Amino acid sequence: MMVSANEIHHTIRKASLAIGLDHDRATDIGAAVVWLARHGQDGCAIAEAMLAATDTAPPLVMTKAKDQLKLSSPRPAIEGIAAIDWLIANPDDGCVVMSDVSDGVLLLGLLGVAAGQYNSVFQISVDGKNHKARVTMTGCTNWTILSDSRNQTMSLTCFPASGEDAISNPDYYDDLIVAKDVWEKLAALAYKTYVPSSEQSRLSGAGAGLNDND
Amino acid sequence: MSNAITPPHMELGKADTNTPNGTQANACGRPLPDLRHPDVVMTLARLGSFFPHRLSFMRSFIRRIAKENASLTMPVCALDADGYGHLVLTLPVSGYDYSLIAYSRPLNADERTDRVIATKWDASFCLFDGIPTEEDITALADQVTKQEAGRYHHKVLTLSRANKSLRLFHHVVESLASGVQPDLQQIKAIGYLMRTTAVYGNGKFGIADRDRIAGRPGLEGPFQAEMLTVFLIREFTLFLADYCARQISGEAAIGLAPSYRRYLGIGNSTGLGMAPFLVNHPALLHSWIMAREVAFARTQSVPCINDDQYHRFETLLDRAYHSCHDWQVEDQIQMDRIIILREELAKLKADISARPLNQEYPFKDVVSRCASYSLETQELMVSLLIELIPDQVDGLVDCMANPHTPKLIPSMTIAELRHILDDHYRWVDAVDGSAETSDAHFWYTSEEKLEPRLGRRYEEPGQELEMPFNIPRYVGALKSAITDLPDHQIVAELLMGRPDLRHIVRRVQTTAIYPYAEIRDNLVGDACRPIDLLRCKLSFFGASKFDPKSDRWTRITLYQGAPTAADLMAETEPDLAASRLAELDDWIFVLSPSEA
Repeated sequence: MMVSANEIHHTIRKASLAIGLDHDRATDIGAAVVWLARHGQDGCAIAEAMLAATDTAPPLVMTKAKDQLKLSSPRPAIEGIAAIDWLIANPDDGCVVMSDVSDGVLLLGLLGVAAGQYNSVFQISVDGKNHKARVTMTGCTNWTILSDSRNQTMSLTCFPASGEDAISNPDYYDDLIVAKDVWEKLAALAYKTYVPSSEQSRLSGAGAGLNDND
Repeated sequence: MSNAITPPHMELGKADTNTPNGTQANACGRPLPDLRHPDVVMTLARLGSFFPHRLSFMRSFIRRIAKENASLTMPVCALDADGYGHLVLTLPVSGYDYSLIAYSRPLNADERTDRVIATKWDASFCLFDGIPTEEDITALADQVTKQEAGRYHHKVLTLSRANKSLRLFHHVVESLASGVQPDLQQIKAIGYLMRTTAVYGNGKFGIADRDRIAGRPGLEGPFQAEMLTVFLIREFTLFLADYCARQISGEAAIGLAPSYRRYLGIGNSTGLGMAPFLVNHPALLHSWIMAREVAFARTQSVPCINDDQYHRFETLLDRAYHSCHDWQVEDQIQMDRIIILREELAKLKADISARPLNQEYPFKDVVSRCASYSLETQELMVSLLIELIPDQVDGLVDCMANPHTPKLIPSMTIAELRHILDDHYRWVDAVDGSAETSDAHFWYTSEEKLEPRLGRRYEEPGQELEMPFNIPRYVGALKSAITDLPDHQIVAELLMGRPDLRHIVRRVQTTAIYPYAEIRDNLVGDACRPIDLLRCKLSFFGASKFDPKSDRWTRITLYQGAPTAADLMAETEPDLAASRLAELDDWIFVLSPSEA
């Protein structure tokens, strides 16, 4: 089915809230899924799988050496967002070293949004191999790098965007398609953030209590 | 890499976060004048006293189409003898055609309700991008008449629906069919032929996302697609009344008098759905308020005025005075305010008659004379004074869209964060967080058509699903968390251990850049009157006849007194073009027409 970016954003945001993520993280996940969808990835399916599996326990211990943050089995919505924040704050020599990244494409989505917000480029390198990917505001050079290299250690670095990387591409207004069953699962999750209606609440809404045939 | 936020229009210089008057600041390329402090402006009581003004979105929309000589056409009219069926109204705006597809349907009295939870309406509408084909119209009919229950595509820009004011609609049709104009008192008492109950935009139910059209000339400003929609709905209602009269009496029917057509607007019932928007779009709210404050501040810098400007001031003051006497509401709180407003305007008029305005900085003198008056009077004077310097104000419209979403500044130090809290969040100290009254309410989304609502925290279920509007509590938690942290620690490190604070940190940082972004009052406290938020937002729309029905919803009128499409299309001599545009733009403090 065809959906709008705004529908994706809000449905993912609410679904994220429903599983217990904080408001800001839910908002960022919503933005990441829109970014993925607009760059040809099945963001909604990826998010639905992530939301079904993610536990929302507090962040795992993140080991911080001088210019290095080490993460093992990071969850994009929890440690992933914290790591991006840290990297943005330490752009010149900061490096995030991570292994066993789950929901890797979602992390790429978060990086893509951050690249646009902070006018940055992120680079992912698989340690010991000439295997790299760049994430800019306009896309990613290797969408499977995180899942393909899941059992290996990877480094994530960040640097200022320049040249073509610093120019956003507004031509991403194609219709966004999502599988109906995926959408229904997400909508069902989002529905859990709504409060059942009561007569008391209904009586205070716009238009209540007037003669509508006047 | 710098983490400084790219300066959008009209943000303040980062180096000066404690006053809106920083030397680095500018507004649309001009230095900022002295602005009122956000602590003064951003209270619920003052926001809840705003009036429509020349930067309001309906005003700027009308100015645009008037300047463009936009010409309305009706490529399709397929209504039956009772006025049921569909029609299409097309208006070009800045080089693009937009069409209102209107579906008119019979509706039983027991099915007519103004509530957003309704499922049937007298008329339903969509704004179509371009001119629809017959196939488009047919395909959309089943969807648009179901509104929220339908699914749409990106050629649909907005959705809306409306119910007739049965009293006035039938009276107008019967009068015109009888060859006479309707009763002026009824026109004045109601002021519209139909009232809408929602106008949806920005991707709802699959329609076009805002960013698909935000860069398009004519629709760059906030809510311009929605304003266009309502303008065309008004045209539809005026046409329908004339059409129905002609169906009854043929050539014997007369058309509604131009002065009545211009006076009639579109009614609207507006509830809590408007309020969360302001809280959830802090950067946008800042841009709206900032534009208005800059415009107001510029009036205060006017060193002197000529006789024509003085006369214009007196004319508008007189019109405001009479308009307030036309403004009658049942809500006792609002009516008491209106009575005081009338008295104060009378006093001001008498004062100015007795002692003319200072020749130097006359508009500053006006404000000085109103300093002890009510907030209603003070804010009405803001709208009035802005009207007097159009050349210095109208360009600010271009600064009112703000595409920037708040973002975290993770490199900020704890010392800087403390500084922002001191500068912008002292108001939370007045909230006694230990008292139940401090969080008596909670905002939530109802499962009933996803209508935003306000609950009593200690009486109603659902607080665990509340929207994050308890700013005083979150700021208190943040202050506690950073009390013992070293000054040089950065925010990113704080948030690794306290991810729950990321939301409020981002909000606080946003306020440092956009000081009018935060409503500086407790939105969940017992004293919160949501109607104040509604009035603020509606004033930016340009809505008039604010008529609260409770502290949570209001009736209003849109486009009352605004030019109709026929007014816009009237022929004018080229040398009169400027005065024609000024006349078409002159509909603030609308007065009722004289007998036609």
